[in-house]
Amino acid sequence: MRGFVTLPVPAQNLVCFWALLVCLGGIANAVLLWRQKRRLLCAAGALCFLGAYFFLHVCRAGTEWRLNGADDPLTMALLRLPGGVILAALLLTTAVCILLYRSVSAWRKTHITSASIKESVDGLPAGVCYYLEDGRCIFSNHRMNDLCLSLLGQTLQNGKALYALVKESPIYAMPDGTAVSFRHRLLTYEGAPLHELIADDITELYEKTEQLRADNERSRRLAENMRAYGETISDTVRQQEILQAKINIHDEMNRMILATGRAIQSGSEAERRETLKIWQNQALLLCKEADRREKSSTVSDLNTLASVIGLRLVWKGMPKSREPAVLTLFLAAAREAMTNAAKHAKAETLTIAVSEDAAALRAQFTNDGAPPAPEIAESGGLAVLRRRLEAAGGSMQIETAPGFCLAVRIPKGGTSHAVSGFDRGGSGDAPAAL
Amino acid sequence: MPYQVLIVEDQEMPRQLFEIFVKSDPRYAHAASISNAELAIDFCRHGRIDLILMDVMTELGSSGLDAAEAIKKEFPETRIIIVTSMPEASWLKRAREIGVDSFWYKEAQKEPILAVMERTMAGERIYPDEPPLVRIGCASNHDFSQRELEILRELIAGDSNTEIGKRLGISASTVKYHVQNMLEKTGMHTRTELAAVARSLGIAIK
Repeated sequence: MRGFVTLPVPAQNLVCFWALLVCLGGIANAVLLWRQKRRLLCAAGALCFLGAYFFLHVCRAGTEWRLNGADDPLTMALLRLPGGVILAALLLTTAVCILLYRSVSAWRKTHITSASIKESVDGLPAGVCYYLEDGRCIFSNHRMNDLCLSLLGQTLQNGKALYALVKESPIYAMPDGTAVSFRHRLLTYEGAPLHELIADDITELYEKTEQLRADNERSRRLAENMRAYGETISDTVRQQEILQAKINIHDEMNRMILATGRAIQSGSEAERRETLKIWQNQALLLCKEADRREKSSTVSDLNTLASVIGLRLVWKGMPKSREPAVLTLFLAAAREAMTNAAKHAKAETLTIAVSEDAAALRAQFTNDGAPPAPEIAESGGLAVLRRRLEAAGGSMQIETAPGFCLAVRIPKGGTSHAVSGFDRGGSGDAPAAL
Repeated sequence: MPYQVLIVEDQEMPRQLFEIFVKSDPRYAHAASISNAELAIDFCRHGRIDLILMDVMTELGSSGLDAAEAIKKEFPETRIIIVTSMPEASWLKRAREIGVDSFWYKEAQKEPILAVMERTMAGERIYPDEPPLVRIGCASNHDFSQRELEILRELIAGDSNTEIGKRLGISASTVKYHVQNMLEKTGMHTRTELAAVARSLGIAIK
């Protein structure tokens, strides 16, 4: 009898052990390939298993035949095969098995599996969670589990409960210094609703936003300071100008003193006289200045203008307000009254009565000239003045008897609410003839 | 007959100084001195004024340049000399445009005011070539371009780049670029510092 059975027993056992290994390898390959959904190769794996199994069966049958004899013709035919053929078949099966296993691991490296999905999603900085309508969580990653643990104080089991918490205010600053923003989406998976909850890591954005908020606040404060500075700057500049002018005057005086010294020491009589005259002028000016400094420059300007026009101003009260807007309107009204007094009424005296309270400055300009026609057309300067006053929330009234009288009310504090109640009553619109 | 001179100057000291100059020369007669530029035209209307020494920033914020423009329209014969201590470049340009006869920087100009008055009355128009040099940080006002000065003027109001850009018809990033350039030129650290210093030196006045 040639063939496998003629081999010595240890060699037979070794070959059997080999076949057993191939058999197990065939099963493992078949299972792995089945899970990878590669059915054809899976069948090859299964064939490996069957081949190896059949060999084992033959071995066992051979042993039995030696003991009891056998009658199975297929087994008998196989047993009679030469040992070399059986060895070659076993070698081939082993090679197929190894090739299949290599194919399985190569496929693993190039294909995405659910485990690799889970692994990569766990590595995400964002939290991810999918749950069903009833809140049952079917997929979540480490980050989402951690977030849930710090927000709810329990592990993530109910996606619905977590969403209920983050629905209203989706942005959270976590104790570890990170910030997350939750967003929710309703998907459909195999016909059933599926909820997706994602927690984006917005730490950097959050920090930048906080930084921006702080920066905005800072620049707002700076702009405010700038505005305030802009308001006081004209005073500051004025102070600087005054200082510079004082320096100039000082230098001028110095120069004069030097010139005087020279004139006294070596100058001619005429030169000394000239120097004396300059000193006199200077002294006169300074005296006049001291006199004038008491009054506001607006009042002194008006007095100067009146003296040029040939009009005498009688002041009953002076404007005390320092608000440029108020004084500008007062000046405009006074100019108008002076022009009218000089041009139309040929008046000699213009009486300016000024009264002031916290809300407004009232001024009344009366001239002693010829009374105008009872109905005067309000045009030109008067119309412009009325428009300016009313735009500023003030009012204006004109009376023509006994003489021409212009009365204005100028509101203070830059408020623009028009108040029609005026000292002498009446609406401001009609050129009233009282 | 001496020229009638009106002095428009809200500061006591320079006003006194001008009065002294005017009175010291028999060719001039001091007509009046006032603080508010707005009133100057009334003096022209009510009497003969040949020459006006006009400050730019006068009482109650009234602008000497606005007043000069109105006077030049109504009284083209009246000579006007703008006198100022502010190196704001745009004033020089505007004064030329409205036909002001001469322009004199109070502290910086070498030529005395009386000489400028004399040449102006002789029909000359005297303008300094450029505003006086004022140091600002590591640079001077002459180092700024026209556009930069425009932006500087807007910066003083404390507005944002977007607002400034909108007003000048350029983009906010262009404004930012120019501001950055100015900061580099002057060596200053913030736009606020730049604006504050520029305003107080009078390089840019809005």
